[in-house]
Amino acid sequence: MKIDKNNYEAYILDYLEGALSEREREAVELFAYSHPELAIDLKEELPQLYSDEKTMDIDSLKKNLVWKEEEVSHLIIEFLEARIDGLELSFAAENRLTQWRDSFSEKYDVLFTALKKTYIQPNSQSDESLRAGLTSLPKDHDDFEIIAFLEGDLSALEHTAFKKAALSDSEKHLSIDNYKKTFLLPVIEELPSSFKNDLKQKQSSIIPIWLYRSMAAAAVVLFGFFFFNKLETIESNQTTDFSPRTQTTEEQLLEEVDETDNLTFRIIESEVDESNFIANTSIVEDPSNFHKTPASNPLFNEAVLTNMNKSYALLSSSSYQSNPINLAGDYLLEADHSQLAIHKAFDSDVLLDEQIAEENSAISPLELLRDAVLKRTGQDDEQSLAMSLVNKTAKKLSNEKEDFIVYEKSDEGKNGFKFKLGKFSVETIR
Amino acid sequence: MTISEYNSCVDEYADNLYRFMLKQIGDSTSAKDLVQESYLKLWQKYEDVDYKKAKSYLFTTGYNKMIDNYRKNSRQELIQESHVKTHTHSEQYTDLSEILEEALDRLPEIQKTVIMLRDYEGYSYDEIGEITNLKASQVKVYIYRGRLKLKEYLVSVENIL
Repeated sequence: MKIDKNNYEAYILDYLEGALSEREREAVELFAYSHPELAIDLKEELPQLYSDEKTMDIDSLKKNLVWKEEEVSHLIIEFLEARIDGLELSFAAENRLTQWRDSFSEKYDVLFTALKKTYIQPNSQSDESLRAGLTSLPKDHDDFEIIAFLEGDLSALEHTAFKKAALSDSEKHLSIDNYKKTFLLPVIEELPSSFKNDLKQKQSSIIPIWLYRSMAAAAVVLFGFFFFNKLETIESNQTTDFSPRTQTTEEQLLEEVDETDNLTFRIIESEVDESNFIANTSIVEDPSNFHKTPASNPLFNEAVLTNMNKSYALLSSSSYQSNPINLAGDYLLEADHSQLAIHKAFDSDVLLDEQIAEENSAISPLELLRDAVLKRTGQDDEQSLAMSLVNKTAKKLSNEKEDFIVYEKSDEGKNGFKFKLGKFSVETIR
Repeated sequence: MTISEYNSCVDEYADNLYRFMLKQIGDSTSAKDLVQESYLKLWQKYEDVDYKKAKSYLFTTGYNKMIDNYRKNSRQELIQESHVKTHTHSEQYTDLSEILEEALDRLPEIQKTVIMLRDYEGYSYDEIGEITNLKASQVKVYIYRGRLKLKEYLVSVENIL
């Protein structure tokens, strides 16, 4: 048994696990005693399921390793017994036996042969098998070198030397291949997404103070609107037919593309008037022309983003009262539709409630609102529904805007585009 | 760590932790429980845990909880013999993979653990030592010994086949 600085950790572990014989323990203790710089703690308690606590007996340490026939015999017998039982020697015993074999090969062989003869073999095949086993005691050093090579633990110099040696050693080559097989490949096993969702924590919704103000103002405005609108509607119904509202705010054209270049859209920002808490941005697209990819225009993207993020602001403002909304149906971009459709919902005194939102969470806002229009016509409690819509939309848009992406709808060529906002998936319609 | 980072940890590491636990104890329900407990602990401490250390924290927590359970219950109660074949799938060559699984199950628990952390998660000796509360040198020895035994087993089985 030769403990040195390169292999002492293995012996220490065996020591701590109580896997060493008394003599081996003494050798470990001697090594620990002789190398204070390594700060070996032989009283350390292993943290796992092992709890051997043996005390160090420095007084009984032996200093030199000399041929000890009794011990070697014991180890050889242990080895032979283990082989017959199909078991393995402990790491330390195996290593020690190898050391004896390597250090005192002649004496070892004589003793080994003698001891082997004491075993009665049931048949020749077993004898061959046993013989093969006996002559191929594992050489831990070689094995550990291969593992170190594969684990990347060798220095650059060692690595090169090892590779060079391996090239000319077919046995080593085979052994490397065998060790390669011990490396586990990743398994494919995933948790259900519902389980992972349960693990996640919901972020508390942070709604800016101006939004609260907007909502409060909206409540007042909506109340006023519905109250007076009802009165006006009753009066107008008695005298005239319904006519679209007229635009009272001024429009600022942000971008207009030359028609000869087949411009497909324009971006208009309305002047903020007293009834608008937030600038009203809208996008109108010429349905007849899709030659230019809208998503490629940064202004367009910005406008879409602004549009979607602020659509709740439109809801909470009274601008819809004064903005004439020209509903162009499927001709408009979906992003615009969602906003316009919300106006339409207001126009029709039809609002979106939670139930409808849940049922239609996977469809586009336009479809969602169309559903709302169909399902909720004739509701009386517009005010509470309006506020519910404001709250829900604001929450959705503020919490989920990180999911907002705009990209080209590649499968439909350069003409279309598609975007996603939270649970909503929206795309252009031809 | 922020809440958002915590949630990212769920997306990034929950599957890994689950696989590790499943391989260790063989029962998907218990593995899920351990994953849940680990994330619960992370959530309780999320403000104090660095996002970069979150994976290590989760594995350490999960591993310690597993050891606690291991001590409380007998191994026989925890391990279901058929779990590996039933619940996992490897892209490795099927026969070899099965033999390797078998060999892995024959290793002492600590050797199995460190090899799994090394191979499945790519942890360094130091990181594995952090998780298992061992020194890096001890981890290295366990890994080496484990590989030695795995190789011996694979070779012996191949010889038989």
